[in-house]
Amino acid sequence: MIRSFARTLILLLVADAVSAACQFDSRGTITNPSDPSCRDAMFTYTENDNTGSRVAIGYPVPVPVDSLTPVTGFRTFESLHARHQALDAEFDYVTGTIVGQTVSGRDIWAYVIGDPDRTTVNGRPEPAVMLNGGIHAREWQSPEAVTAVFERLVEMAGDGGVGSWLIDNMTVVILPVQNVDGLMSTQRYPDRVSASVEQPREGRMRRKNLASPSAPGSAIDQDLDTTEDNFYGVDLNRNNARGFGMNGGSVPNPVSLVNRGSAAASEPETQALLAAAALGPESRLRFYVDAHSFTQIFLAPMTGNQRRDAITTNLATRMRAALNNKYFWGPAEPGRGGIGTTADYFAYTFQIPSWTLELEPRNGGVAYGGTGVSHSGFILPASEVPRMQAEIVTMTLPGYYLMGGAAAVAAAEIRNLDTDEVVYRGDQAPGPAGADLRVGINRALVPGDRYRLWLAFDKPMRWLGNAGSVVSYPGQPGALAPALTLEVPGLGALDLDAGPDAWLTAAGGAPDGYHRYTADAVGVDFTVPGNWAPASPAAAVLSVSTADMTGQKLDADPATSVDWAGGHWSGLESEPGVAGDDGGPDCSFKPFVATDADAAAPAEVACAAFSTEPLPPAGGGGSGGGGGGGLGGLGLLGLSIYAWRRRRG
Amino acid sequence: MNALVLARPLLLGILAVLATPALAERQELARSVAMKQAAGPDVQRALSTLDGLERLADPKALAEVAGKMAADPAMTPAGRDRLLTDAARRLGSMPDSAASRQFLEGLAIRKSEVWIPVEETGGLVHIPLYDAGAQARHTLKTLDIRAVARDLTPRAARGEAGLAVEARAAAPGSVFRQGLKQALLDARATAAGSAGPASISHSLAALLPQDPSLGTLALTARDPADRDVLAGVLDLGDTASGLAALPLTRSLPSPEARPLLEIAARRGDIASAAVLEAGRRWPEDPDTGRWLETLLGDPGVGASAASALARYGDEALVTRLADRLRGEADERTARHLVLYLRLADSAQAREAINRLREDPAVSAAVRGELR
Ligand SMILES: [Zn+2]
Repeated sequence: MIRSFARTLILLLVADAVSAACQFDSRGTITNPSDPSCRDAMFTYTENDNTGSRVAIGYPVPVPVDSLTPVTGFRTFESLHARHQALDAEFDYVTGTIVGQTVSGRDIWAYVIGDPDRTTVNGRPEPAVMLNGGIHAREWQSPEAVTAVFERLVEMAGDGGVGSWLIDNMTVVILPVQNVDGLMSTQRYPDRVSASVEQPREGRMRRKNLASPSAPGSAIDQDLDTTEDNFYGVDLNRNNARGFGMNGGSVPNPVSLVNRGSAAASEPETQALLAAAALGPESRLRFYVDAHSFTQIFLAPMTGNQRRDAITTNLATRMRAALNNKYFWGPAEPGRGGIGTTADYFAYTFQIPSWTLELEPRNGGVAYGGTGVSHSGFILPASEVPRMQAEIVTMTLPGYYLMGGAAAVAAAEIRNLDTDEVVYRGDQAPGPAGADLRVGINRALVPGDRYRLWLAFDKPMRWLGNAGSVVSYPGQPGALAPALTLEVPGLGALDLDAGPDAWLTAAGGAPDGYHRYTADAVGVDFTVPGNWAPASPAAAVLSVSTADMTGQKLDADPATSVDWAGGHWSGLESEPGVAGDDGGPDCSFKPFVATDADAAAPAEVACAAFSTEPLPPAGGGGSGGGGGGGLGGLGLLGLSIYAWRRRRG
Repeated sequence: MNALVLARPLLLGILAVLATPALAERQELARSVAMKQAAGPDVQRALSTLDGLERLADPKALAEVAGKMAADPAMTPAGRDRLLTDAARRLGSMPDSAASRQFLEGLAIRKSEVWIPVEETGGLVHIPLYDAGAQARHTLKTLDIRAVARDLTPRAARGEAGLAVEARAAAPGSVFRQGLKQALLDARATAAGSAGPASISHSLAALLPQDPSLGTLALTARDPADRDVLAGVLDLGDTASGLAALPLTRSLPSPEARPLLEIAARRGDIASAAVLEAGRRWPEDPDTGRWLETLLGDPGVGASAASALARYGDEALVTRLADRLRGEADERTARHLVLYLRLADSAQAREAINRLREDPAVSAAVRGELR
């Protein structure tokens, strides 16, 4: 009897305690922020303890660590900042700039990674890409992911290959932590949150900046005492000019998680992002990513510019493939207009590929064996941080490489292997708007003679594995081997068979070394068929159908250099005079065949590879191992001859 | 007790839970709608009932009542998700029992019925508001850990060296290791003190050369005053335990802490953290400050040393290091001195930066970094 009474009493007390808590309106905004039962509610995240106000997440609660170098976990803002500053001080190709101050007056830094001249090795203005981090305070993964890209670019800078090419030819703008106040505030309370377990707010789960609505331009403090401390602030990812206040994506309520602020770009942190974009400068920007967590998806504005949207989709496809499509694809409805995110701003303002990258996990901490408690997705276990970083780097590099623009041929040399005499030498001399083809030597290729072709591109074309040999970049399409054909109208087409080893990885230039960067040139030996015996010199074309390491085809007309304008590629041709976004083969170099080594060059001929018909499959090493035998080569030769004859007819 | 409720067979509740995933459709609801459903008066009553049963320490009753309430056709889907999650959570704080395990095992495969949009994704991605299955799986794990801890606590209190060998045989993160960790904590909390665990900590530390992942257990078992185990973990423990050991040096006087930090500073994975840890104490310990200054040219930790020295605004140090930069021949050291001045972020440091930027005694490349 006594026990029963006690239980009833307990139930009554508890019923009262449970009903008093944060209340939500139809937009999910808390309606009683000043009610002590909501304002003062505090919870502590633990690994396994669910008693009282403790909330188990099911794995150790990460605590930020002071370390400049990456650790198995999250670094404090102070040591992340020191790391960025160290990379700036240590390397000439890293330049830090204060791009603004937070609402509480802390400096916001952005870093440019790239050589100081801001021009490509061909003397043209560099393209720029931009990566933003730490806009939402509780998304601790974001600054670590962004910093990992920063660190990897620096680490690769002297690799002689893709890393060196990126430093020489691109400008990467990185803003590692946009919401400095917010991140520091969350790191001050690594295991504490306020308000409600289902929608925790201040402490570890602050999202917004520290703007105080009661005194515009001033900051709330980092305590967890007042209504302002616990609920106010502006969502910096709803404060941007494109889509500001539109499409139901934000509300003008200081308590809301998606409080848009008083006006577009009202917040100093938003203005700092714009100042960082000016480092590109804006006119050179081609790609923008804003790193968030979680849900493991690319949330991509689609502006309705069809070419821009298609390029964006293709870019995302290539990048997602690098992680075997672990990340989902979330394109917005075309032309919807945005909701004031930074990705909206860059997509609509500059018509460039731009998206919000929501880092892992997909659903929540349950992915790591956790309890799945609400919002645990914002808490990546410390032990997962290095893997997450490596994955984001793997996914990012092909994106930057691809947005650097399609490759073009740079130079060719053909050398007689018996006499060591150079019989052909040509190059694409870079100019401000495009290249000029210069042919220094053009002597006959004699049937039956053996030659070595050395062909260089203006970009590294293949990725090198840890062992230093050419490997496929994860998830990227296309053959490793180069696809080269010597077309001789009237005589046939000779596929220059070569395996992946044809890509040159030692320095030295022609005939056996790479041009500027590892794997930017191939060396292929071939014999001009002895039964090619033209009565008079026969014009030939070296058709180059190889694609780069992301499957991007070549700029078919190097005379107009590839750039970006109006939401699409410019100067990118599938054949001379046919501009688009796909690229095509190159037929710049036109040697000739004659039985007399001293014969004069005949008039040039058109290239069979330029055709509105689909190209035959790329010759050379498919998936099954290159140097395969004559039969395959003969087959391809026959096919090429057939294809060429058919087109001609 | 409420005989009416408790008289129902336990099986009924379990079947109700098991039936849920098969019958329930996944629903996507706005957060506000889902939370309103999950906070309705029926749910509040159910949660109060569960709370009362938890206080009565009756897991069997709690499991049965939760199952019955979840089977009530009047219960909303979000309410059902919430109360089952709550039941699974509470069972982790209650005595272990066959009834709770049976209930949790049934629940562990359950999929949430109500999913809500994540704010950030504008409705594109939905996640469960409550995940009773995940909570049940976690509670089962914690019950296992507690069972192991219960068995091992007397052995830990006795200081059985064999526990270290058994820990080595178990995988990192295994239930055994987590249970042993709890047992070591529990043993240390008893009146008998820490002699048993402290002795185990030495056995664990001795195994670190073969298994660095034992570092965390060694730290757990360690007597707070024990310097040797700390040194062992800082030298040979895995990264996580090495990082955890660094702040423990704060209780030591500087002459004792410094040699430990020097050991850690030779390990690539925690070297930077060790140097920054040293930075916390250099103003009171000139020897640590001098050590940090000798590291400024180090390719691995030079930048960390600059950052550690910049932690406290020290005018004499700004003057000395600015002078050193003027005459510094080694470019790496010079760049770390620049980093120091930039991070020191005092009026005096800024003045030095402005002065040295025009100083031909500083190489052009290094002057370029004086921003
Ligand atoms: Zn976010």
